Amino acid sequence: MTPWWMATLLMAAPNPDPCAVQACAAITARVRAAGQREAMADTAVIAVPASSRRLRAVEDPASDRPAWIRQGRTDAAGVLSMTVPPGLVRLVIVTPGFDRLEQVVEVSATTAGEPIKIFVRPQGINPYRTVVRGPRETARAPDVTARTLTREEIATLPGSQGDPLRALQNLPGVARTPGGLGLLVLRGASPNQSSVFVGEHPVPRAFHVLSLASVVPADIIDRLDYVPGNFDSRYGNATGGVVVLEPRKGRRDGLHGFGEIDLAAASAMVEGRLGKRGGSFMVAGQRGYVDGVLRAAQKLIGDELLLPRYFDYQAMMDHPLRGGGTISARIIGSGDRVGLDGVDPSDGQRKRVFDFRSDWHRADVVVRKRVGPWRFMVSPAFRYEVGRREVNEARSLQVRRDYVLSLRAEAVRELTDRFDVVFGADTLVDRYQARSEAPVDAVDLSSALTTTTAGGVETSIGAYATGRLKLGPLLLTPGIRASGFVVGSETEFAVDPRINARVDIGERWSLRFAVGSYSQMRVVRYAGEARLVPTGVRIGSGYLIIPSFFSNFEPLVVFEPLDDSLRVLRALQASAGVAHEFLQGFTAELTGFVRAQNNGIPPVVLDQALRGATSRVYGLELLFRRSLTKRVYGWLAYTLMKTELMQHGLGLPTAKFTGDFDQRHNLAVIVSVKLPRSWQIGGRFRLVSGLPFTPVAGGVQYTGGAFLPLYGSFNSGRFPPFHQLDLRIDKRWIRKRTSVTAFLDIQNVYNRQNTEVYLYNYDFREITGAVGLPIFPSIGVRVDF
Amino acid sequence: MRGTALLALASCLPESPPPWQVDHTIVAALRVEVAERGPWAAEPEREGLGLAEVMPGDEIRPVPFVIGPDGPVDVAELQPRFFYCVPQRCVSDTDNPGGVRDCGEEEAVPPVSTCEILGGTLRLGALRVLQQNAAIFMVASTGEGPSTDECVRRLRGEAGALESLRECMLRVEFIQLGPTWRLLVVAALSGLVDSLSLSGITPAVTATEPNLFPREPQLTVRVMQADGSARTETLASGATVAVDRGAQVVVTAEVDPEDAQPYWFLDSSGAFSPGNETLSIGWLFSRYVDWTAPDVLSIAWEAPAEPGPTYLYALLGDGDVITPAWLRFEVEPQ
Repeated sequence: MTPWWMATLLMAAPNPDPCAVQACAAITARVRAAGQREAMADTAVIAVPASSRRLRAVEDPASDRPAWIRQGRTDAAGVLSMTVPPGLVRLVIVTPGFDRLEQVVEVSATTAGEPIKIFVRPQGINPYRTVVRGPRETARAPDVTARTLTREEIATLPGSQGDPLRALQNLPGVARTPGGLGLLVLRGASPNQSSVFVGEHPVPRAFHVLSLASVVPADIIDRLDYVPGNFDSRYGNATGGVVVLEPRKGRRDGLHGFGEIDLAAASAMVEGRLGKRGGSFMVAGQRGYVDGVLRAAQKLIGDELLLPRYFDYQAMMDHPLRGGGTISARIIGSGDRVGLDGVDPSDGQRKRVFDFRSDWHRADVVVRKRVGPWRFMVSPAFRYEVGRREVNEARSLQVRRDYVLSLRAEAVRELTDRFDVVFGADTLVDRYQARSEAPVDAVDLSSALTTTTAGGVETSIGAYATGRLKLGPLLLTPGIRASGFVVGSETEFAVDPRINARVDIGERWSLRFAVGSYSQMRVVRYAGEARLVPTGVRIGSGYLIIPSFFSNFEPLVVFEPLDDSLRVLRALQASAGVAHEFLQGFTAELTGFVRAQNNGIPPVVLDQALRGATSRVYGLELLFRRSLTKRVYGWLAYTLMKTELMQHGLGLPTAKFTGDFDQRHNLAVIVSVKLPRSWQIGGRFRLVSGLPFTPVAGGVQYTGGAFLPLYGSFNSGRFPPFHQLDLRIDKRWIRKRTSVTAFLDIQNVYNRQNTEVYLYNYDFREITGAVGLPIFPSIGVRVDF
Repeated sequence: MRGTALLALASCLPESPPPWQVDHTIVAALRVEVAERGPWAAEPEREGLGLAEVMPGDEIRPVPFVIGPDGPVDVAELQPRFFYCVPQRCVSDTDNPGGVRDCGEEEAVPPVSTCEILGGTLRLGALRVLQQNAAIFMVASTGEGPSTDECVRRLRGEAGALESLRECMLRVEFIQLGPTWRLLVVAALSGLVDSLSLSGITPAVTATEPNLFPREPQLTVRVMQADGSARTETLASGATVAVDRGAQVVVTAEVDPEDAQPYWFLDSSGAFSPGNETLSIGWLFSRYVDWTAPDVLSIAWEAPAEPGPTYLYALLGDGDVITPAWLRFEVEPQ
């Protein structure tokens, strides 16, 4: 679209073509966006004579009419070719989203010069090339109600440090995690009941050690699709929700990347063109060295601290295939270490007491090809995992290695414009080897070591069919999934029908309904299971009560499954909602949901098995959202939820308990505004119910003086409500070939003393709340090229 | 940045008074004494020392030593209630909504079911199982919160306020049965299925002194006043000592070395092996003080700056049982 000023200029200056009366010379210019150097296609460029090389202020076209005007447009590669009279020429570019650019060049009448390099400065902060896809536009979204976060929203969300999965915690249906750390609790489901996919395959865990960061950074993903429940039949082996991180393709318009460093981690990424036929690559890595920071703190405070460190890496390639189609190859992985040092009294030296390690590496290939009316996708993957726990004091060592083959194959047929079907299958075969070393005499730690080895195969297989049927305003997505689970000699099967529907009422209203059955394999008992954080632990003479959330912190290392321990979790999920699109980019969604689940396994409560425990979650989600626009984005997310755990059997009436992840009210308000001169400011306010916990009713002292806790009713206590305001300010400096972004992220601006854990004294008579993160400013710098 | 969140969480834990500071009423010790010896009882060889182990047929009496920030507490005022039980089931049996039965004239060892000791003493009956412990479960008010009866009701969930048990004192004390060789003989004579071989009972084993409570220690107090003067005196439990603010005080427990008795224990192969008790002292203060422990029987500390009484409690233990003693230090204004 021609800008108003240009139209004015052109209409006010019906000058004759200068090249009709004098010889003109050809010029070539490459027009790119400054900072990211992205080619600017189809951009209008005006050329006018210049009296000097000095740039003047904007001229009034009415009073300062140029002698001639030439106009051209860049091609798809951002290249401008035009002829102009020789001499000094002023090139003018005014295009939406960019600052006005004027550049004076000298055009020779005789010799063709080098291509002119023009860098146009973007107005907003957006080093993140974003593809925003709503649920209506993608066939890949896991459900018609999928919500999407863009890379820019993830990167600039206050309090999330640019981490994709922690940014997700601000959407309805996602619980707040204590301590400002990351963990995915979707609609009250335990973290291990939801799956996180990177591309076509799940990742064994979503977060690094103690949930400090996601194992996949935001920079390598195209988008994040989030379905807190009622995901379609393409996904299985989960009874909660699904998060899909869709990797993006590398850029082909030059070599790009970034480098970032702060106190806790360093990361870098490079991407560029691969070959001449449309391929691209992307290589990224991150190394966390929190242990170094904590080691220094350890010396200051004198106490021993857990020392975590981590890394992750991603190498991805996309390339077109001869004869159509694409191939993508990806290698991703992550590793975590947690150590604890102690002073050896025999020699006073600090030595490693405890060492915990968990790594995984995955290679996968995705081939997509269209054959006639069919679209095919095949993606094999191989993953290697190793979990290792060593307790030097007890001379115990446990190691488990997993060799995991997974495969997803899919065929899509668009029968008509209104109807398509998807047939697919996925499988995951996990061959594991476990080894355990410990002293023969558990009391006499100096006794000889005994080694135990084990091995076996755990398999899950799924076949699914799903379709999309558009009948006027009604969009139906029925599907069915059959699953088989094998652990050793045990086998379980499940068939899960699902259906989602959306009805558009007019242009702005839509109704959504979904109901479906979900199954998940669960190994009930392992010969060894090493959790990093328990829910209760002695600290000095006191006893710390931690919300159950914490015991789900990664990594979790398990060893050999015991016999008769394969169970299938079954859940019935239903949801219904209404959505309305307001003017000016505002949308509102209200969704009610319920999930009834048979846990298949009695959870251990108060050291007593609850036979046939079931759970039920129901609630409401409200999302009032202003989509990412030129100036503003933000949303209000509110979740009202209740989770119940039911006890059956034992000859007693059914008893109800509050579930571990019951956050009754969860409100998050996000606003981010882009300001002139590449400033951006955002804020996040959260008000969340406290988490339930099992209180200690009192302490019983036993011979020798030790006090043991006497627990009250399961999850009958609740932490105080949480509220916090976070602010984030970004400033971006754009150079021709690079951009530098600095940010100030202040968490807990008004220093609210939120209680995150309780500490009982030695005899459980006194209880004190321990607060979480105080006001915490953070500064970071990032360079993009 | 992200790691700092963890650091902040770990370093924000509040501090509560240390366990050695008695800022509320506690049961410092619960002694199970022999009120009347039965037919299998061992004969103490040293006068003035009570038997620290009991046998089936003995009449036993639980004797708690309760202390608080204002000195030892009169236990009778607390009206504690005692239950005879198997250690693993003391709490779970007692908290039955319907309560537990009263103990009979004599109760088997260990008890068939938990019962309440009425009248302060309990006659132990026949040995029923050799390889299982018996215990005394004490429930008492602290004198400040709910009454003892209310504590029992809350324990049973009858008051609907289980959480408030934090204001009650609950203690499970294992009953020390023995001497072990005598117990083996009783088990064999009773024909118990879990009785062990008597072949390890040698004359050396039978000649060993039965387990006795350590003698109540006298306490030698050395006070170095702020003006440089010093004095040393040896005091019996319950005495009062005047000290200046900031005075350096060293207290040493005078113990009889013979109270660290030799004993025989059954090892994993069923044979008797010799061992020797070690005496040690746990020190408790009613106020926060700076202290160090020069050796296992001494403590050095500085009198607080604020005037008023400071109680020092000494819990002399031999590994099995405890004999308490205490002193009252009156910090005087200078």
